[in-house]
Amino acid sequence: MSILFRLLLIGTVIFATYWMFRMINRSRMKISDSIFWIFLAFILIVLGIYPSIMRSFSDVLGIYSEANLLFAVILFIMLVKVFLMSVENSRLTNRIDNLTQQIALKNRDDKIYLESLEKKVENLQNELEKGAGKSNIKNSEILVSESYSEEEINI
Amino acid sequence: MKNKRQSDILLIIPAFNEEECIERVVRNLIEHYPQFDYVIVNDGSTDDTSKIAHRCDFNVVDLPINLGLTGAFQTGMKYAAKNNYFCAIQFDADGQHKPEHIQELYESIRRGNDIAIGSRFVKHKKPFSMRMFGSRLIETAIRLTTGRHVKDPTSGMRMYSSNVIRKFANNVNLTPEPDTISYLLKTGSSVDEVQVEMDERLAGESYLTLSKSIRYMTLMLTSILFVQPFRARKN
Repeated sequence: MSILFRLLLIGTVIFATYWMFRMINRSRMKISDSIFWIFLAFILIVLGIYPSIMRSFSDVLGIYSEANLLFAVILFIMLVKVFLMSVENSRLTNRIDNLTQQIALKNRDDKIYLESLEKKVENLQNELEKGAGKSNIKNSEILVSESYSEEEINI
Repeated sequence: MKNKRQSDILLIIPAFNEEECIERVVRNLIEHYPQFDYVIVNDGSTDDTSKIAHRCDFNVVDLPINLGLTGAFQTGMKYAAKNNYFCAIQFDADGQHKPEHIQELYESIRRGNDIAIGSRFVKHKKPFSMRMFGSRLIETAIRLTTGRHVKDPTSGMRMYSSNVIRKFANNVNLTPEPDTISYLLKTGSSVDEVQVEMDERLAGESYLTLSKSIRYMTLMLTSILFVQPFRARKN
């Protein structure tokens, strides 16, 4: 690997790592998700500083160019990583679907319950009015749905 | 279900499948420590934890899916922030934490500390066992990066003041784990350690297996040694 190649490798990795820390700082990345990239960055920097490591592996494997071996290794790691991310993606989508369904069903149950409560209150008010016959009953009207606010959920 | 805040102190009780201990632990709090408010955060338990908590009319928040300790604890912090608690403490549902020590931790926060850790090893020596090996590694990592000697970094019994509560409620990267302690130390929070005793787990199964422990240690050490130093500086 030429010296220019190694410098480019190390430079790119350092820049990418800096960018990743910015993501962490802005709460756009979780630290546990960054561990893989930290390990990868560390390995690539070591390989850039000590190209003899790649030389010994490529000699054993009979590959002429160390850079080719480096590309092949990185590609393989990327394939595995992307596959694992597809699995994680499926898991997350399942959780979102699950949550959405639960919220929808819960909202419906809540509305039905509130409607039945409002009906009960209405009946009680009517009975009170019949019994007392006074208009100050209207002042104590309880609107059950006013104290119930639905918070919007942003995904 | 209790809705109004009655105390300065909130006990956040994350619970995942703790049907065997939950009633005993919380009844003990209600009967002998009524001066503290509590909230159970049911982390999507698949057993009868929620049923038991509702039957006993405990103050409980049911998460619709399992988020893990971090998510459940953050829910408790959001609850604490919403209800303006002066301080909040993580209190385990398995009976290992003893409520006798909460008052001392509270007094530490009153003296102006941001975090008060209930530490088993302030006055007593840490034993040389496999269990404590991980704790020693983390202790060393924190000392290397912050200069501060935290004797029981993995203790879950930590009390947080109100400004730390607000930070936790809004940030996904603040977890109830030792790497967060390391980060808060670096950004200037005051952390105090108070000697406490802890019991063994009352019943049920612990969450940690060997593979989980190894993964946890890798995550913690990498985070403390390689992430937190850069994170703090860029703020």
